[in-house]
Amino acid sequence: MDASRDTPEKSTHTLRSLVYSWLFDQTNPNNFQKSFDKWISLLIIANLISMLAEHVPAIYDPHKQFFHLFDMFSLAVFTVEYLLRFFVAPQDPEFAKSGMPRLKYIFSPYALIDLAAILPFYLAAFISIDLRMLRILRLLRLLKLARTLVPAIKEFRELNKGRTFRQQVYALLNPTEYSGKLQDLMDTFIVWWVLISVIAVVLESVEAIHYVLNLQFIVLDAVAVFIFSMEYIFRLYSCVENPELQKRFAARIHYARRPIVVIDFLAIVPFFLESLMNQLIDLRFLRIFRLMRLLKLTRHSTSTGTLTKALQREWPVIAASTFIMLLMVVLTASLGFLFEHEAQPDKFENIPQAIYWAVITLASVGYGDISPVTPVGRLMTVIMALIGIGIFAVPAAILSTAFNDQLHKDRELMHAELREFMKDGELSPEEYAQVLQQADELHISPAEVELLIEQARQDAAEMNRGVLPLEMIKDKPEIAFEQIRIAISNLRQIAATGNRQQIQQLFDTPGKATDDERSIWRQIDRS
Amino acid sequence: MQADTGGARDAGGDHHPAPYFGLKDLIFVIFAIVVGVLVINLGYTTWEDGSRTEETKANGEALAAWMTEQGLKREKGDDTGLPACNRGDSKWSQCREALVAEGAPFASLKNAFDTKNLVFADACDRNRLDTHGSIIVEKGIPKPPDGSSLAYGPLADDESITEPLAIRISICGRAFAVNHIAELKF
Repeated sequence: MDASRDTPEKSTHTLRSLVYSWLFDQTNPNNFQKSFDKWISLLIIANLISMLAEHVPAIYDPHKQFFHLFDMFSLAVFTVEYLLRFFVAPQDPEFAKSGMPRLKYIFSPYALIDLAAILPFYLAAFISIDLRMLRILRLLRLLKLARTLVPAIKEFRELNKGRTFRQQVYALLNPTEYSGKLQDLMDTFIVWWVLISVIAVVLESVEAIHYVLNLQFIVLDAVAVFIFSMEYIFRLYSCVENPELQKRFAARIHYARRPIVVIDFLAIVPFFLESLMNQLIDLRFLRIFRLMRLLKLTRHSTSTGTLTKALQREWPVIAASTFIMLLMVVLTASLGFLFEHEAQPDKFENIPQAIYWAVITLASVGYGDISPVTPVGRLMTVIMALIGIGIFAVPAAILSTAFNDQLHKDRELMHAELREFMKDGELSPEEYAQVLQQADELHISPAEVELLIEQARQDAAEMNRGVLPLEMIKDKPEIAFEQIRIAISNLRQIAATGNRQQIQQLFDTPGKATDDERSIWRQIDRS
Repeated sequence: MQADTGGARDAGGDHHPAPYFGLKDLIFVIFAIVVGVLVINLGYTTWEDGSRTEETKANGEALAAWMTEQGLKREKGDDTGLPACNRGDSKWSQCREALVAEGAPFASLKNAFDTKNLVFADACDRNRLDTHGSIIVEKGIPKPPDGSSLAYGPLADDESITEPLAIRISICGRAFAVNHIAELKF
């Protein structure tokens, strides 16, 4: 191997340097490195799922060919990954300093893991290896996740040096400045388990699937409950590190009463109740409450936060329209009972029973199982249904407007913060990361973020030139007044330092300045 | 929209920094371990019950396969190998006992949950603990008005099995949950 050729060649665009900078360079935020790592991680997890599924004859036997093809595909992808990493090793700063970077790469721990994940299958072509042994060896592919996990753990340790155990647990479960990538991975792990367990609950309700995968569902549920229980306990344990809760008496009780934490509790409690009491009472209905786990995802989405804020803000209006809605329902039900009771005593037996019909009619659902038969009843239904369309639509419209409004406000807030960051004209990597995170939470695309940054940069440049962005001036007459005074003072300075005669000549040249500008110049020149 | 500082106490002017791991931390960790062990234990118990349910299902499937096969013979009036189960003046209780008698195809059939429990039961009844893990054989009766579908009910001990019967085999599985195995003609 030619050592001189194996030195980093970032300046020249060789194929090797291009492949490295596209797929493997962690210092380049605009390449495909993160996507590449993400897809490889997903493929590793898909391999694990495939390995588990192969142990269920009802799934494996009819789809043997598919499993084989998937295995071949995974093997091909992992082989290409290994070869690419081998190819670009001289470009990687970790190996580039060595005289033989590719050799150093081959014996690096990650490369050995990568090789262990693919080698047995190539060896199987030459040596007879038991199929079960091959399946066990495929578990080695899981070790490939170390490439993602180990750096995240190292970063987390570095960030949390000198911090207590509880603070570290808090940083692991909540996004803080000490959290790093490990917290992202933890979030992803929990989100995946929420999705897996919810899919399992849904599939369990299909008798044919439940019949075949009964044991697998039991194992999945137990593992999910184990993970969610640990998450619940450690969230409760570390919540006192939350700055909002530090000054509260009985902070943990206060935290446990938060809706999202109650959801965490409800996500695990059916398992304990059913397991401990199934011989005494039939608690299978509790299984459906495992779908509450889906609500755990609200912790990882800002949309629900925006909706909650919108609801809180518009609560009086929504309450008022709900009150009118209730009045309408009771009135319609009462009139329905009054006009239809004699004609259909079985369907309009009493007012509470007529409420069902009233709601179905006013909400324009109209199942048709109960309908008026008397002329007055039908006339009343027509009028009420027409009014109902408007009344029932009001809360939806309020909520939709409030949601949009809240999103707009949050985006304005982010824009203001971005302008604050850009005061010095530059955006540090930390500030950029924070902006990206906020943009992600507010569903702003990266392209839009770049536009906002550019706009903030221009605003900052104008401010540095003493010109405030018009957007900032328009609603603040005091600032506008000060800006006008500054502008007049600047004009006077220009007039005092420049050659007045030549300036005058320029103003007098037809077409060079407007009459208004000429008039202002005269005022300045005179003073 | 400021990032959560997460444990800012030690970042400020705290003159007595908290120990890395104190007694309260230990209590919480022990509690977490206890809960973890409880979940594993309950999960394992549930898995064991699930395995017993699978075993019972396998027994039910074997019985369903045998009854389907013998049902065809019975329809033609052939010998099933168990005189008590042939078309003749037989009762269900006699056929059922013959099935598990010594030397019979299901002689080794046992309740997977508890050997003291019933092997065959009329229904899965939470108030009768001995029905847990049993096989339930039910008789189908055409539903009025057109009789195109069947309503299943208990196959009584003294029920005559002279004529071919529509049968449903179920099991009383984990947590007294009924699992339907097969519907067949016997």
